[in-house]
Amino acid sequence: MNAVYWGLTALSIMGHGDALDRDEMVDFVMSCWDEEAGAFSAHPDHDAHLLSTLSAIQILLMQNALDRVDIDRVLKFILSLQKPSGVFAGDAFGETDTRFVYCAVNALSLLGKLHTLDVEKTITYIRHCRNFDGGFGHVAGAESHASQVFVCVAALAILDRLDEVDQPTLCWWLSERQRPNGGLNGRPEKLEDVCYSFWVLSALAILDKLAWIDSSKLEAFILSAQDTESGGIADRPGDMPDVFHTIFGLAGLSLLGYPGLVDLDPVYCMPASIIENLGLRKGWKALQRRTS
Amino acid sequence: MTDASVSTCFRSLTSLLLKPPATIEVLPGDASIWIPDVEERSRSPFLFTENNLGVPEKELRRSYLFAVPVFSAARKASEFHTLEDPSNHIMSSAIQDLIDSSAVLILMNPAHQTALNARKQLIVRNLIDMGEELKFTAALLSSRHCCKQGELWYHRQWLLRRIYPVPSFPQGLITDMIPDSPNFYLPPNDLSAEIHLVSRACELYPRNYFGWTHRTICILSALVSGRSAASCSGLSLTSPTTVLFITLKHSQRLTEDAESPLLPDRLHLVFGHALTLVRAFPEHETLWQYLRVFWDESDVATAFVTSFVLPLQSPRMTEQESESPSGVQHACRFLEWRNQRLK
Repeated sequence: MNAVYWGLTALSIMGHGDALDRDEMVDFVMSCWDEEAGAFSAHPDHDAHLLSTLSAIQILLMQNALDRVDIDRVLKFILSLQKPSGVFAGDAFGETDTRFVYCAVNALSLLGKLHTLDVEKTITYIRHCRNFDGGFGHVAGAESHASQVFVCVAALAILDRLDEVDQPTLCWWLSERQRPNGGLNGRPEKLEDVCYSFWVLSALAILDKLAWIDSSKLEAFILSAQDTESGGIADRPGDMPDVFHTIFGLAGLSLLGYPGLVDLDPVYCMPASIIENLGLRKGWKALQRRTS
Repeated sequence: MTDASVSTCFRSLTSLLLKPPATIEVLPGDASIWIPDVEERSRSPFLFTENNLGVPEKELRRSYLFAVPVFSAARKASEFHTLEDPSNHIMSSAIQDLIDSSAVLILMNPAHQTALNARKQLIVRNLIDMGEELKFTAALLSSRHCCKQGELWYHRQWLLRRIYPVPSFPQGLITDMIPDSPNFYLPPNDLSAEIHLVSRACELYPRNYFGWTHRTICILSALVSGRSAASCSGLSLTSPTTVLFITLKHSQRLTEDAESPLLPDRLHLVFGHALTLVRAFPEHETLWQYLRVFWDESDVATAFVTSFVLPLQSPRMTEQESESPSGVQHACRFLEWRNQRLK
């Protein structure tokens, strides 16, 4: 399910959102409906999970098929996963992670049901995950990680609570993710990886600090990770491409103003026009789209 | 390979996985590279020596493809298998298929949520022994591709919580330390075992995010439970990441407590320790980050900048630059950060 969302979003950013058969895609999404849980799984006959439920909602929105969702049941599933501390579990077995907080907040927002969330409890937990370096971890007490920074900052953006972010400290930490070759890593002493072109860049865009990284060097790095024979983008130059790194490489390029791409909303990681039409646009800023 | 031989291969693998072995390693290529003798290979395409299991990658893939429909069918069948008295149950073939196939699925894909969930359900129904599952997960975590996966570490924490539930403590201790995480109460010997498990995983994959978090959860549980430092004796705290996050989280917590024993002079000692670490390992960015937390513009700090940081980042000091090129970048960034702070 996640891979379908990555692929569809990637195609949409390139202006080819209709390249895949819409009905087949919607049928696949609906085949992943877990009737017992009232949510979506990653694949037919797998267990429902918050990750795949968010992706399903995003896909159906992009395909203008959200009417296929039993919103009340999905709402019940999502809200049932919030714990007393404010964190969300991914499923009934209880693994908690700030990613799941974001999935819940994002999904509720897209469904127009954000008012059902205990916002203060949610924000309290995110606050517990904030570290001395301004970053956020996957649970309270865990090391700061750029992907967790994205999910926490984006969740706070949706909840209009960016005041919870120590912006100068965090943006400094994010800008230090840029390596000498222009690529971005996810935390200190890790290699650069194209996917951080989204996780880091989107957080900077949300906080209006895109100018704090060298955009031309990053752009060159992403482009160098393309496979010019088979297509697609890999995690770094020379490696095999995959859909995951392709979407996040494209998402990064879109935020950097690369010509010919469609605007991406960094909070929701979906085409900006769809989010604007829903009235959900927040105050993020991307670089201006170049004409050449 | 015929269907019968694939089935035999699958059963051979599951019997070895569920012994369980002490370690598991996925080997490149197929069995012919590792077991040249055809007859021996036909008996089992897997290597098993001194309780260490070697699984050729191509044999794992074959077994995985066989396991997928077995798992799906067994999952459906086991939902109708009711157990009124778990202690007297007769193990059905569907349950055994579920246990076997989920083990192979998880070895191939340690983030296979549905397979992990199935094993949790089997544990709840007393169809998998928790102690054996701990050994099985320890074996999986000895494999590089497995020890990176958060879902597998969580599976282990879920098990530990069932085996060592948190006893009654005053409100606001363990559960507040890591809210809604699977906190548990490890006896000292088992705490050491978990630390050893994480250390082994981090040798395979340094900067192991979920491994270090697991270690933090284990150590914080021991600290917060009020047990003495003796419980944590012998723990090696030499890793920069360990020093950074465990000491910091503990220090941050204690400095918020007005009756904390961590007085300002202790913070001074920590600052001195941070300076020592950066001098010894300037190529480690995490140590520069650690230093920033305790940085205080003092005579000691100024002397450190003058005698160490400035020469390190200077392009004229070519010898130091060649010894520690990333140290140069870290020093430059540290100075930028310091200048910004001074403004």
